[in-house]
Amino acid sequence: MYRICRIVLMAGLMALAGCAVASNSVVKSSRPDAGVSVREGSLYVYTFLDLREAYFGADMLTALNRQLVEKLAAGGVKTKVLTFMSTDAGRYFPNTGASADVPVEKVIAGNRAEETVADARYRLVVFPLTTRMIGAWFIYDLRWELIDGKTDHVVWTVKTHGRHLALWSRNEMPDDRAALIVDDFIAEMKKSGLL
Amino acid sequence: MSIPGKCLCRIAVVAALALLAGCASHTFEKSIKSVADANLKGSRVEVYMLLDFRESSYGPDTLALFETRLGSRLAAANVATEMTAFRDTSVGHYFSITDTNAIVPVERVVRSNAARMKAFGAQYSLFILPTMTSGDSNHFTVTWVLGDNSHNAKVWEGVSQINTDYIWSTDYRSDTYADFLLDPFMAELKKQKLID
Repeated sequence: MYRICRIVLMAGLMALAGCAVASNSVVKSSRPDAGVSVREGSLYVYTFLDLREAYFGADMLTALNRQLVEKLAAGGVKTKVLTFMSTDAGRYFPNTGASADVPVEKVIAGNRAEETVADARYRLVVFPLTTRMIGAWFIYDLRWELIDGKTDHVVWTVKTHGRHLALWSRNEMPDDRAALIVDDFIAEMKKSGLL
Repeated sequence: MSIPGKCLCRIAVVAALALLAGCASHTFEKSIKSVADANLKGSRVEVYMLLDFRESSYGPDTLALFETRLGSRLAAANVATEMTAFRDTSVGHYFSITDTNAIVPVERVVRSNAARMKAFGAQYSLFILPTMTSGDSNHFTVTWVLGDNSHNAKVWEGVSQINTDYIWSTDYRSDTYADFLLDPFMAELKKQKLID
Protein backbone atom coordinates (compact mmCIF):
# COMPACT_ATOMS: atom_id res chain seq x y z
CA MET A 1 0.00 0.00 0.00
CA TYR A 2 2.85 2.32 0.99
CA ARG A 3 4.66 1.55 -2.25
CA ILE A 4 1.52 2.21 -4.30
CA CYS A 5 1.04 5.54 -2.52
CA ARG A 6 4.62 6.51 -3.33
CA ILE A 7 4.20 5.58 -6.99
CA VAL A 8 0.92 7.54 -7.24
CA LEU A 9 2.46 10.56 -5.51
CA MET A 10 5.56 10.47 -7.70
CA ALA A 11 3.46 10.16 -10.85
CA GLY A 12 1.31 13.07 -9.72
CA LEU A 13 4.29 15.28 -8.98
CA MET A 14 5.86 14.39 -12.29
CA ALA A 15 2.64 15.23 -14.12
CA LEU A 16 2.38 18.58 -12.32
CA ALA A 17 5.99 19.49 -12.95
CA GLY A 18 6.03 18.15 -16.49
CA CYS A 19 9.64 17.19 -15.89
CA ALA A 20 11.64 14.01 -15.31
CA VAL A 21 12.87 13.19 -11.77
CA ALA A 22 16.37 12.27 -12.96
CA SER A 23 18.52 13.02 -15.95
CA ASN A 24 22.10 12.61 -17.07
CA SER A 25 24.08 13.68 -20.10
CA VAL A 26 27.58 13.84 -21.50
CA VAL A 27 28.62 17.50 -21.65
CA LYS A 28 32.18 17.13 -22.88
CA SER A 29 34.16 14.33 -24.45
CA SER A 30 37.71 14.55 -25.76
CA ARG A 31 39.01 12.66 -28.78
CA PRO A 32 40.87 9.58 -27.51
CA ASP A 33 44.54 9.24 -28.33
CA ALA A 34 45.21 7.05 -31.33
CA GLY A 35 45.74 3.36 -30.68
CA VAL A 36 43.98 3.21 -27.31
CA SER A 37 42.26 -0.12 -26.67
CA VAL A 38 40.75 -0.88 -23.29
CA ARG A 39 40.50 -4.57 -24.27
CA GLU A 40 44.30 -4.76 -23.88
CA GLY A 41 44.96 -6.21 -20.44
CA SER A 42 42.37 -5.18 -17.89
CA LEU A 43 40.91 -1.84 -16.82
CA TYR A 44 41.43 -0.67 -13.23
CA VAL A 45 38.60 1.61 -12.13
CA TYR A 46 39.27 4.09 -9.33
CA THR A 47 35.97 5.55 -8.21
CA PHE A 48 35.93 8.48 -5.81
CA LEU A 49 32.14 8.89 -5.90
CA ASP A 50 31.85 7.34 -2.44
CA LEU A 51 33.41 10.53 -1.09
CA ARG A 52 29.94 11.93 -1.80
CA GLU A 53 27.96 8.88 -0.69
CA ALA A 54 25.74 11.15 1.41
CA TYR A 55 24.58 12.77 -1.84
CA PHE A 56 24.47 9.75 -4.14
CA GLY A 57 23.27 7.10 -1.69
CA ALA A 58 25.19 3.94 -0.84
CA ASP A 59 22.86 1.62 -2.76
CA MET A 60 23.10 3.71 -5.91
CA LEU A 61 26.90 3.66 -5.79
CA THR A 62 26.94 -0.12 -5.29
CA ALA A 63 24.60 -0.49 -8.26
CA LEU A 64 26.74 1.88 -10.35
CA ASN A 65 29.94 -0.06 -9.70
CA ARG A 66 28.23 -3.37 -10.46
CA GLN A 67 26.62 -2.11 -13.67
CA LEU A 68 29.87 -0.55 -14.86
CA VAL A 69 31.71 -3.87 -14.46
CA GLU A 70 28.89 -5.82 -16.13
CA LYS A 71 28.54 -3.49 -19.11
CA LEU A 72 32.28 -3.27 -19.66
CA ALA A 73 32.46 -7.08 -19.47
CA ALA A 74 29.74 -7.25 -22.11
CA GLY A 75 32.09 -5.20 -24.29
CA GLY A 76 34.97 -7.61 -23.65
CA VAL A 77 36.73 -5.52 -20.99
CA LYS A 78 37.99 -7.13 -17.78
CA THR A 79 37.61 -4.70 -14.90
CA LYS A 80 38.65 -4.28 -11.29
CA VAL A 81 37.11 -1.55 -9.12
CA LEU A 82 38.71 0.26 -6.19
CA THR A 83 36.55 2.63 -4.15
CA PHE A 84 38.16 5.58 -2.38
CA MET A 85 36.76 4.91 1.08
CA SER A 86 38.11 1.34 1.01
CA THR A 87 41.70 2.62 0.75
CA ASP A 88 43.88 3.81 3.62
CA ALA A 89 43.80 7.34 2.20
CA GLY A 90 40.01 7.22 2.12
CA ARG A 91 39.50 5.58 5.51
CA TYR A 92 41.44 8.34 7.25
CA PHE A 93 40.11 11.17 5.07
CA PRO A 94 38.30 13.83 7.13
CA ASN A 95 35.09 13.68 5.12
CA THR A 96 32.88 16.46 6.41
CA GLY A 97 30.96 16.90 3.17
CA ALA A 98 32.91 20.07 2.46
CA SER A 99 34.86 20.90 -0.70
CA ALA A 100 38.17 19.07 -0.60
CA ASP A 101 41.44 18.35 -2.30
CA VAL A 102 41.18 14.59 -2.89
CA PRO A 103 44.43 12.55 -2.76
CA VAL A 104 43.77 10.76 -6.05
CA GLU A 105 47.42 10.46 -7.06
CA LYS A 106 48.31 9.05 -3.63
CA VAL A 107 45.58 6.40 -3.97
CA ILE A 108 46.83 5.40 -7.41
CA ALA A 109 50.47 5.33 -6.30
CA GLY A 110 49.53 3.09 -3.38
CA ASN A 111 47.79 0.66 -5.72
CA ARG A 112 50.50 0.24 -8.39
CA ALA A 113 51.35 -3.29 -7.29
CA GLU A 114 47.70 -4.35 -7.58
CA GLU A 115 47.51 -2.81 -11.07
CA THR A 116 50.45 -4.99 -12.08
CA VAL A 117 48.88 -8.13 -10.61
CA ALA A 118 45.66 -7.33 -12.49
CA ASP A 119 47.63 -6.70 -15.69
CA ALA A 120 45.88 -3.33 -15.93
CA ARG A 121 46.95 -1.48 -19.06
CA TYR A 122 44.64 1.46 -18.41
CA ARG A 123 43.02 3.02 -15.40
CA LEU A 124 39.70 4.85 -15.28
CA VAL A 125 39.34 7.57 -12.63
CA VAL A 126 35.73 8.48 -11.86
CA PHE A 127 35.75 11.77 -9.95
CA PRO A 128 32.96 13.91 -8.42
CA LEU A 129 33.86 17.42 -9.64
CA THR A 130 30.88 19.13 -8.05
CA THR A 131 27.89 18.02 -6.03
CA ARG A 132 25.20 20.34 -4.76
CA MET A 133 21.64 20.43 -3.54
CA ILE A 134 19.03 22.96 -4.66
CA GLY A 135 15.93 22.24 -2.64
CA ALA A 136 15.30 18.53 -3.16
CA TRP A 137 17.32 18.44 -6.37
CA PHE A 138 20.74 16.80 -6.21
CA ILE A 139 22.95 18.05 -9.04
CA TYR A 140 26.34 16.60 -9.90
CA ASP A 141 29.19 16.86 -12.40
CA LEU A 142 31.47 13.87 -12.89
CA ARG A 143 34.73 13.50 -14.76
CA TRP A 144 35.82 10.17 -16.23
CA GLU A 145 39.53 10.03 -17.12
CA LEU A 146 41.08 7.13 -18.99
CA ILE A 147 44.79 7.03 -18.16
CA ASP A 148 47.57 5.00 -19.74
CA GLY A 149 48.98 2.90 -16.89
CA LYS A 150 52.49 2.85 -18.41
CA THR A 151 52.90 6.56 -19.10
CA ASP A 152 50.35 8.08 -16.66
CA HIS A 153 49.12 10.10 -19.62
CA VAL A 154 45.41 10.94 -19.81
CA VAL A 155 44.24 9.47 -23.13
CA TRP A 156 40.53 10.31 -22.94
CA THR A 157 38.30 12.50 -20.78
CA VAL A 158 34.54 12.67 -20.46
CA LYS A 159 32.49 15.05 -18.34
CA THR A 160 28.91 14.20 -17.44
CA HIS A 161 26.21 16.27 -15.76
CA GLY A 162 23.21 14.86 -13.95
CA ARG A 163 20.43 15.66 -11.54
CA HIS A 164 18.05 13.70 -9.36
CA LEU A 165 14.94 14.81 -7.49
CA ALA A 166 15.14 13.11 -4.08
CA LEU A 167 11.45 12.61 -3.39
CA TRP A 168 11.86 10.39 -0.35
CA SER A 169 15.51 9.67 0.31
CA ARG A 170 18.91 10.00 -1.34
CA ASN A 171 19.00 6.20 -1.69
CA GLU A 172 15.85 5.78 -3.77
CA MET A 173 15.72 4.12 -7.22
CA PRO A 174 19.38 3.04 -7.01
CA ASP A 175 19.42 0.77 -10.07
CA ASP A 176 17.58 3.22 -12.34
CA ARG A 177 19.71 6.19 -11.30
CA ALA A 178 22.91 4.17 -11.69
CA ALA A 179 21.82 3.01 -15.14
CA LEU A 180 21.32 6.61 -16.30
CA ILE A 181 24.95 7.40 -15.49
CA VAL A 182 26.56 4.14 -16.60
CA ASP A 183 24.60 3.86 -19.84
CA ASP A 184 25.62 7.36 -20.92
CA PHE A 185 29.26 6.63 -20.18
CA ILE A 186 29.23 3.28 -22.00
CA ALA A 187 27.49 4.88 -24.98
CA GLU A 188 30.21 7.54 -25.09
CA MET A 189 32.92 4.88 -24.96
CA LYS A 190 31.31 3.18 -27.93
CA LYS A 191 30.88 6.47 -29.79
CA SER A 192 34.58 7.20 -29.21
CA GLY A 193 35.59 3.81 -30.60
CA LEU A 194 36.90 2.54 -27.28
CA LEU A 195 34.32 -0.21 -26.86
CA MET B 1 15.29 10.55 -19.37
CA SER B 2 15.52 14.31 -19.80
CA ILE B 3 13.48 17.49 -19.43
CA PRO B 4 10.83 17.53 -22.19
CA GLY B 5 10.66 20.40 -24.72
CA LYS B 6 7.42 21.85 -23.34
CA CYS B 7 9.00 22.28 -19.92
CA LEU B 8 12.02 24.06 -21.44
CA CYS B 9 9.73 26.39 -23.39
CA ARG B 10 7.93 27.41 -20.21
CA ILE B 11 11.26 28.11 -18.56
CA ALA B 12 12.51 30.11 -21.57
CA VAL B 13 9.44 32.36 -21.63
CA VAL B 14 9.62 33.11 -17.91
CA ALA B 15 13.37 33.75 -18.04
CA ALA B 16 13.11 36.03 -21.07
CA LEU B 17 10.24 38.02 -19.56
CA ALA B 18 12.11 38.43 -16.30
CA LEU B 19 15.22 39.68 -18.08
CA LEU B 20 13.22 42.08 -20.24
CA ALA B 21 11.53 43.39 -17.12
CA GLY B 22 14.99 44.40 -15.87
CA CYS B 23 14.99 42.11 -12.85
CA ALA B 24 18.64 41.16 -13.47
CA SER B 25 21.38 43.53 -12.34
CA HIS B 26 25.16 43.66 -12.10
CA THR B 27 26.61 46.63 -10.20
CA PHE B 28 29.97 47.43 -8.66
CA GLU B 29 29.48 48.26 -4.99
CA LYS B 30 33.21 48.75 -4.45
CA SER B 31 35.92 49.93 -6.81
CA ILE B 32 39.18 51.22 -5.35
CA LYS B 33 42.23 52.10 -7.38
CA SER B 34 45.33 52.07 -5.20
CA VAL B 35 47.83 53.22 -7.84
CA ALA B 36 46.51 56.43 -9.32
CA ASP B 37 48.38 56.42 -12.65
CA ALA B 38 48.18 52.66 -13.33
CA ASN B 39 47.11 51.76 -16.87
CA LEU B 40 47.15 48.35 -18.52
CA LYS B 41 47.68 49.53 -22.10
CA GLY B 42 50.55 47.59 -23.66
CA SER B 43 50.81 45.24 -20.66
CA ARG B 44 50.57 41.48 -20.18
CA VAL B 45 48.07 40.25 -17.63
CA GLU B 46 47.73 36.75 -16.15
CA VAL B 47 44.01 36.31 -15.58
CA TYR B 48 43.12 33.86 -12.83
CA MET B 49 39.52 33.20 -13.91
CA LEU B 50 38.48 31.30 -10.79
CA LEU B 51 34.71 31.55 -11.27
CA ASP B 52 34.80 27.92 -12.41
CA PHE B 53 35.16 27.02 -8.73
CA ARG B 54 31.39 27.58 -8.85
CA GLU B 55 30.94 26.44 -12.43
CA SER B 56 27.74 24.59 -11.66
CA SER B 57 26.19 27.91 -10.58
CA TYR B 58 27.57 30.14 -13.34
CA GLY B 59 27.32 27.53 -16.08
CA PRO B 60 30.24 26.08 -18.08
CA ASP B 61 29.08 27.58 -21.39
CA THR B 62 28.60 31.01 -19.81
CA LEU B 63 32.08 30.90 -18.28
CA ALA B 64 33.71 29.67 -21.49
CA LEU B 65 32.13 32.56 -23.43
CA PHE B 66 33.01 35.02 -20.67
CA GLU B 67 36.65 33.91 -20.74
CA THR B 68 36.92 34.16 -24.53
CA ARG B 69 35.24 37.56 -24.68
CA LEU B 70 37.28 38.93 -21.77
CA GLY B 71 40.45 38.04 -23.66
CA SER B 72 39.16 39.61 -26.85
CA ARG B 73 37.89 42.82 -25.22
CA LEU B 74 41.17 43.33 -23.35
CA ALA B 75 43.14 42.58 -26.53
CA ALA B 76 41.09 45.26 -28.28
CA ALA B 77 42.28 47.61 -25.50
CA ASN B 78 45.88 46.58 -26.23
CA VAL B 79 46.16 44.32 -23.18
CA ALA B 80 47.59 40.83 -23.74
CA THR B 81 46.19 38.10 -21.51
CA GLU B 82 46.81 34.50 -20.52
CA MET B 83 43.85 32.78 -18.88
CA THR B 84 44.14 30.32 -16.01
CA ALA B 85 40.95 28.69 -14.75
CA PHE B 86 40.82 26.79 -11.46
CA ARG B 87 40.23 23.42 -13.09
CA ASP B 88 43.20 23.97 -15.44
CA THR B 89 45.63 23.90 -12.53
CA SER B 90 47.12 20.93 -10.70
CA VAL B 91 45.41 22.25 -7.57
CA GLY B 92 41.97 22.31 -9.19
CA HIS B 93 42.19 19.03 -11.07
CA TYR B 94 41.26 16.69 -8.20
CA PHE B 95 39.40 19.22 -6.07
CA SER B 96 35.87 18.02 -5.32
CA ILE B 97 33.48 20.90 -4.74
CA THR B 98 30.21 20.90 -2.81
CA ASP B 99 27.86 23.76 -2.05
CA THR B 100 29.22 24.33 1.44
CA ASN B 101 31.36 27.35 2.26
CA ALA B 102 34.83 26.92 0.88
CA ILE B 103 38.10 28.80 0.61
CA VAL B 104 39.43 28.98 -2.93
CA PRO B 105 43.11 27.95 -2.58
CA VAL B 106 44.35 31.00 -4.48
CA GLU B 107 47.93 30.98 -3.16
CA ARG B 108 48.41 27.32 -4.12
CA VAL B 109 46.92 28.03 -7.56
CA VAL B 110 49.35 30.91 -8.11
CA ARG B 111 52.32 28.83 -6.91
CA SER B 112 51.38 25.97 -9.21
CA ASN B 113 51.18 28.43 -12.13
CA ALA B 114 54.37 30.35 -11.35
CA ALA B 115 56.51 28.92 -14.16
CA ARG B 116 53.78 29.42 -16.77
CA MET B 117 53.13 33.00 -15.65
CA LYS B 118 56.86 33.76 -15.75
CA ALA B 119 57.12 32.32 -19.27
CA PHE B 120 54.24 34.57 -20.34
CA GLY B 121 55.94 37.58 -18.82
CA ALA B 122 52.87 38.87 -17.01
CA GLN B 123 53.39 42.27 -15.42
CA TYR B 124 49.99 42.11 -13.77
CA SER B 125 47.69 39.44 -12.33
CA LEU B 126 43.91 39.77 -12.37
CA PHE B 127 42.02 37.54 -9.96
CA ILE B 128 38.30 36.95 -10.57
CA LEU B 129 36.87 35.23 -7.51
CA PRO B 130 33.41 33.86 -6.71
CA THR B 131 33.09 35.39 -3.25
CA MET B 132 29.45 34.44 -2.71
CA THR B 133 27.04 32.28 -4.63
CA SER B 134 23.49 31.82 -3.43
CA GLY B 135 22.10 28.29 -3.36
CA ASP B 136 19.49 29.07 -5.99
CA SER B 137 22.09 30.64 -8.33
CA ASN B 138 20.20 33.93 -8.33
CA HIS B 139 22.68 36.08 -6.42
CA PHE B 140 26.44 36.31 -6.80
CA THR B 141 29.23 38.43 -5.38
CA VAL B 142 32.39 38.59 -7.46
CA THR B 143 35.66 40.05 -6.24
CA TRP B 144 38.07 41.37 -8.87
CA VAL B 145 41.66 42.11 -7.81
CA LEU B 146 44.35 43.52 -10.07
CA GLY B 147 47.92 43.20 -8.77
CA ASP B 148 51.27 44.45 -9.96
CA ASN B 149 53.53 41.38 -10.10
CA SER B 150 56.86 43.20 -9.95
CA HIS B 151 55.96 45.27 -6.90
CA ASN B 152 53.68 42.62 -5.40
CA ALA B 153 51.13 45.37 -4.81
CA LYS B 154 47.39 45.69 -5.30
CA VAL B 155 46.52 48.13 -8.08
CA TRP B 156 42.73 47.91 -8.05
CA GLU B 157 40.02 45.99 -6.27
CA GLY B 158 36.37 45.77 -7.21
CA VAL B 159 33.40 43.94 -5.74
CA SER B 160 30.31 43.46 -7.84
CA GLN B 161 26.83 42.27 -6.89
CA ILE B 162 24.95 40.26 -9.42
CA ASN B 163 21.25 39.39 -9.32
CA THR B 164 19.95 37.13 -12.02
CA ASP B 165 16.80 35.41 -13.03
CA TYR B 166 18.14 31.91 -13.57
CA ILE B 167 15.23 29.57 -13.44
CA TRP B 168 16.88 26.26 -14.07
CA SER B 169 20.14 26.19 -15.97
CA THR B 170 22.54 29.11 -15.93
CA ASP B 171 23.68 28.02 -19.37
CA TYR B 172 20.29 28.40 -20.93
CA ARG B 173 21.12 31.98 -22.02
CA SER B 174 24.91 31.71 -21.89
CA ASP B 175 25.42 34.23 -24.70
CA THR B 176 23.46 36.89 -22.78
CA TYR B 177 24.86 36.08 -19.36
CA ALA B 178 28.48 36.06 -20.50
CA ASP B 179 28.09 39.72 -21.58
CA PHE B 180 26.05 40.41 -18.46
CA LEU B 181 29.10 39.34 -16.39
CA LEU B 182 31.62 41.09 -18.62
CA ASP B 183 30.16 44.46 -19.67
CA PRO B 184 30.05 46.12 -16.21
CA PHE B 185 33.62 44.96 -15.54
CA MET B 186 34.92 46.47 -18.78
CA ALA B 187 33.01 49.68 -18.04
CA GLU B 188 34.60 49.83 -14.59
CA LEU B 189 38.10 49.37 -16.02
CA LYS B 190 37.47 52.34 -18.33
CA LYS B 191 35.99 54.42 -15.52
CA GLN B 192 39.11 53.77 -13.42
CA LYS B 193 41.31 54.62 -16.45
CA LEU B 194 42.93 51.20 -16.29
CA ILE B 195 42.18 50.83 -20.00
CA ASP B 196 41.58 53.56 -22.57
